[in-house]
Amino acid sequence: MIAKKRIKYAALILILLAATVVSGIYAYTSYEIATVENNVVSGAVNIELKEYVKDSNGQQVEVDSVNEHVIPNENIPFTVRVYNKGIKAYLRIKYEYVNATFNISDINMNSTDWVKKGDYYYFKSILDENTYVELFNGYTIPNNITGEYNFIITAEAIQSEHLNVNFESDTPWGNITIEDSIDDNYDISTVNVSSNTIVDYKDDSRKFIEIPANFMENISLLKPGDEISDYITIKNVSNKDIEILMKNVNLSTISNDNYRYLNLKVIDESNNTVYDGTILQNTLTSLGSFKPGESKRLKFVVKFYEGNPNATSEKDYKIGWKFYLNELEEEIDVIDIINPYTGDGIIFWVILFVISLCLLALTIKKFILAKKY
Amino acid sequence: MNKKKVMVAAIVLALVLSIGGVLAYFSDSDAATNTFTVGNISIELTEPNWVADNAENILPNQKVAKDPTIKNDGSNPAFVFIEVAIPKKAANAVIIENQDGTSPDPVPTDAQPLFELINSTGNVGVNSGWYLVETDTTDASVNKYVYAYGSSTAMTSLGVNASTNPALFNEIRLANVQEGWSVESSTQNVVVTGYGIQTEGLSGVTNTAQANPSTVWGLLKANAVHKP
Repeated sequence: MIAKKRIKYAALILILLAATVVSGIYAYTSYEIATVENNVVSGAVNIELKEYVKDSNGQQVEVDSVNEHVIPNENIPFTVRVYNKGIKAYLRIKYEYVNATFNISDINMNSTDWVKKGDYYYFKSILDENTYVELFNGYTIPNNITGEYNFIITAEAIQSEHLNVNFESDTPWGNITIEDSIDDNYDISTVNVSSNTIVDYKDDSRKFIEIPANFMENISLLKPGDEISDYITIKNVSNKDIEILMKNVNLSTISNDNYRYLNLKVIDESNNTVYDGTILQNTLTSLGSFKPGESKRLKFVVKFYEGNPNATSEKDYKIGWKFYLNELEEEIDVIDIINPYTGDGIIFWVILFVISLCLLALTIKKFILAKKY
Repeated sequence: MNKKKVMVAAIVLALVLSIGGVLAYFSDSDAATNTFTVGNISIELTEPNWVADNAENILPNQKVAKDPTIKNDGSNPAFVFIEVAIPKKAANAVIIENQDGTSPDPVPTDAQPLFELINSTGNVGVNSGWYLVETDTTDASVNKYVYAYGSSTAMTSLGVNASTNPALFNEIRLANVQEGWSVESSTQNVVVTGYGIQTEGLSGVTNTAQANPSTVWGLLKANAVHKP
């Protein structure tokens, strides 16, 4: 009989303890007030080297490579072009000769359009989308040669925008890395960039937050170094202090890892940085507190970092922007356990927690002593 | 609450900057490997119907089968020529009668070739498909005739493993030499030489299908490893 009562007391205290612990941790409840769904699409650099010879009828035909029996000084109707199927890019070419028993003097590339630095011929102009440049039209076999040799042509391209080029330098493109595109079939002429921005306000929250209907909308293809910016206005129309937070999420099927090169910076009107980090957040992130009547216009800047590999090309980054509001209370409502409390209210819960612990300790002690008998 | 965010941002930035300052933009590369096998010109001169025994003890007007033919046994197409060196005798050292036995009238003043080339029709001359591109009578004892495989305006390209068709001529005939001019019991050499040259990359030849024989023969004489 006494044991049962003691168990009941212990249970009650444990529940009280749990309630304080639970309430103590989740001292805030954030109300979702607005969401935005939009997307940005990244582009790609993609070039194609095309080779042509003439068939027996004298018609030009495309070939994967040339494999011919030739004689010294023979002029082959061999034409090579580089097509740009991606975004605007700079181009460079390397000619290599393998197994040649002699020194072959280089292909003549006109100095108006090309400059030779190191192993490469650099095309001085930007290669626009859907255009091509012809490397040479007709190739003469060198004189005084014997046997078989390989003539290797390598074309490399890099996005032109944001790249600092200097054709006077020994390394006109600077210290860069060339990768293969992730998709040889990428064709910019068939890419359709659609950006549907959906802004949704919960209940009356439009009073607190004003988001443009085309927030961060961007119809051009994103590339490393690009920046998109837009503004959100927040106004505290209540008579309490509030805090606005955000927690942006990945709405696409591609992994979060792909988003790590999309950086978000939020700046207030005084040019203070409110947030500077990845575009996605794992937890609620504060955009600042607002006193009753206070209004702020925040600038949101999304930047696609330089330093990312081709793995981030050709991606449709769907983003769910989520904005939350916290009420910041000064008075404490003791009876209502569920409502959030902050600031001085915490002390109440700490005291209650300590008392509960003491009671539990006493009960356990008595229980153990009782058992000994 | 923002501490975690700042940490993540710092890690990302550190990651970005730790690439040692190498800027990586969108890029692409494409390459092609072409192979050129530099070949050679090689020809073989044969006379399929020549039988040396048949050329012994021949009499004036006698024909002996002789059909110079060139085969391309190299790895590239070739333009080919045949030079025939026919022995001759000075005009005052021989009389070559007409076919009907009469003496020539007027009396020739030039040296007289001792042999005639007979074509497939049985007449004096070479077969069609060959063109006399050069005649050299400067040597005292021999006349050299160079024939191009082709027409007066265009060489015929001899493909790999192909043979000239028809042969340059089919028979050779001892001229109707009058006896008593020291031709009897003599040995006369008719030297036939074949030459070949690449069809492509010839200076002055813009169109292989219309390569002028004189031009090509000139190039061959100037540049051949084994000069005529």
